[in-house]
Amino acid sequence: MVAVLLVLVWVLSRVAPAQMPQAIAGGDVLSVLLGDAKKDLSGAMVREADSYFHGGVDMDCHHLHDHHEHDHAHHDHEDQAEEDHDHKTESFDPWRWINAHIRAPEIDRHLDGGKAVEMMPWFWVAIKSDPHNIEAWSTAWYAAAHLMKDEALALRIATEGQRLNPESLEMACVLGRAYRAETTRDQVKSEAMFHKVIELAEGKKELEEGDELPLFSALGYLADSAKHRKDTHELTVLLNKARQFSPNHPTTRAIERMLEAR
Amino acid sequence: MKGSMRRIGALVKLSLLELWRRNDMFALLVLSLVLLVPLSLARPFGASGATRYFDEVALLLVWGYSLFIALGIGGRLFTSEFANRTVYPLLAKPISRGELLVGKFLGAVAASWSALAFFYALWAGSSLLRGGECLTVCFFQAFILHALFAALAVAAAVAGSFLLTPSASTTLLAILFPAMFFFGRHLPDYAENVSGVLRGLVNAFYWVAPHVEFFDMRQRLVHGWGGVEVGVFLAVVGYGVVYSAVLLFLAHFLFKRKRL
Repeated sequence: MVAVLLVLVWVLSRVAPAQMPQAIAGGDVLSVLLGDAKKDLSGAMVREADSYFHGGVDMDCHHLHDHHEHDHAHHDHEDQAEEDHDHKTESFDPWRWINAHIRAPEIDRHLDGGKAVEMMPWFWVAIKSDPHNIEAWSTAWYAAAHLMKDEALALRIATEGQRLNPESLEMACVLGRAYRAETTRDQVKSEAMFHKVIELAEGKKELEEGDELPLFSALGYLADSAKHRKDTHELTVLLNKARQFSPNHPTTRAIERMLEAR
Repeated sequence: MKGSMRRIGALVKLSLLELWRRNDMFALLVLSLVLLVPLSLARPFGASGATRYFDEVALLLVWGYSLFIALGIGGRLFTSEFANRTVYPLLAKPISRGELLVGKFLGAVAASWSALAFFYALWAGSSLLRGGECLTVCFFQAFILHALFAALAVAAAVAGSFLLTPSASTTLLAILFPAMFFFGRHLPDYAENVSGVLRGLVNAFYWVAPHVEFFDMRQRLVHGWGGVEVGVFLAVVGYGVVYSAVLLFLAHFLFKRKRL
């Protein structure tokens, strides 16, 4: 019965999308089932992949841990002092204690090498749920390229992600980086993608949060290539563009130094 | 004492037969195959070699099935006896209400555990076929805690069937248990974000609600962390036993007061 209803909704949304604005026209079964919740599902799947990266440890539970047993590498002294203070004021909670020991043991292992493939199903579901989840695409590419060292897989992910998100600076930058890899190297395509990042940035009235990193990465890669080609003109053009976006950015300063060294 | 044990034993045997004669197990098995076979063939982005997602989904299904079976059996234990009026000839025999309750509860638990053992054996078999290592301390700890969860769910269903109508009780527990399973550990965080009476209510609920998430060792099993420390394991076992016993006493109290 439910299946019949779902098929009916899907067919009607295809046949008469204007009459059924509540149905997501052109969507797949997930769209019909979940609607806008797909974005939340996609985010949850990326968090699941992150949990897999940390050896399956429930990261939400880590903060529940007794601080005497807690020894996470990226905790600095300030955090530790704050945590000490919190623990002195908190009373013992047996339920919290059990949960922390069952679900978040003090292991410090990360998936790397071929084992990182375990994250891929979750990235795949994240991307299927929301093809515009840039974080999912870029993290999946990172896992393939840098953890699994599978550059062909990384290139496939980057190409598909960029195809589905042609307006994303980050995806264009990711694809540019994928073309720079050793086994999939294609300098022309790589530089074309980095130029596309700059074009996309120039086409925007104002840079959005998260645009700066891919933009200056692209400028940095292009400047590096120009430096190797001893192309002073290209370096000058890139420096002017970098100054236009942020005159005091470290990449802008780095390009200035490259030109001074010429 | 010997007669009492024999009567309880007969009730346990009846419950076991009832579960395996029904089509529930067959339907769940077919559902598993329909869901898991395509899942096992999935090659996300064309990459092969991922197995943990499959183990995690399969174990989540086993959790769902165990809850379905435990609530179904527990909820039906007495309601069908009252509806069919078969409870009268049962109590007319030399069997006390306490013996009937304990016998039926143990029978329901034995039936749930047999189903659980069947699904864990299937999971272990599939893991072995994929070259995994499954008969570890962690595996047996996971099974024991899961079995305690099933006993707790049966006890809750029995107690619920005396407090509410069967459908209301099963529906309520079918919402409460998964909610606690997924969100129980976050209740203190929710309490921090509300104020006044609501905060007090959330905190009170946190202390008395059944923390079924304690029994979930899926992550340990899937990611091969090894078993939980003995102290923690015994604490969870104690929690499960005490909680189930309290629910059974509540059921006994309600059954004794019930006019037949």
